Amino acid sequence: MKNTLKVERAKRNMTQQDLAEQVSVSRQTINSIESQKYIPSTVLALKIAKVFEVNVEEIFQLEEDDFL
Amino acid sequence: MKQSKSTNSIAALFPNYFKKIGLGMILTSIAVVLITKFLAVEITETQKEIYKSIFFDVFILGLFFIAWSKDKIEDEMTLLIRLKAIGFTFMTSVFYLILRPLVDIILGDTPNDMSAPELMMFMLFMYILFYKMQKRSA
Repeated sequence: MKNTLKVERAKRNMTQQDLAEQVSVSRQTINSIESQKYIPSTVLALKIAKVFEVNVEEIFQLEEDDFL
Repeated sequence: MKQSKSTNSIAALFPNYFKKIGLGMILTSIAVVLITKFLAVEITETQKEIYKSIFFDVFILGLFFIAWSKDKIEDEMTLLIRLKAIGFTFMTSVFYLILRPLVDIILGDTPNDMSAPELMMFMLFMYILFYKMQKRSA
């Protein structure tokens, strides 16, 4: 699953720490999501989308591999 | 930082300050053993066994507190890392249990049964080690 978290964050001039605090996770978790090492839970994905005021699909998109 | 309700309900972990308590217990138990050795205190075999048992109990409890207490920020990713660490620990423990007597035989010693404290210490060490490694690479 790919994501545009870094782009969305940059658009809003937000640091990883800012976002982490708003969704109650560690900065390391945000970093892992951005580098696609960790796939967030539905709850966390929804919380992130809410912070950015966009739909979840605008940040997280499924890839071909995810259907295998 | 306020922690997620779902994370808190899944993980039955000790509060973060238990890490310090655990470390204190480990250091104290090691210090007591070293002081006893250094001062060459004369004790009977029975006393020696009792003290050894107490040392292992305190040491294992200290390791357990370190392993089973929350990080400063506990979230869903740390829970996943914990799960992976438990899996890795389980796997290595099985191999350790099987391979250790073989190592004894190769080294020319008589293979003896592993004690429960030894296995528990190995498991706790492996868990802490793998958890730290995973967290660093995350």
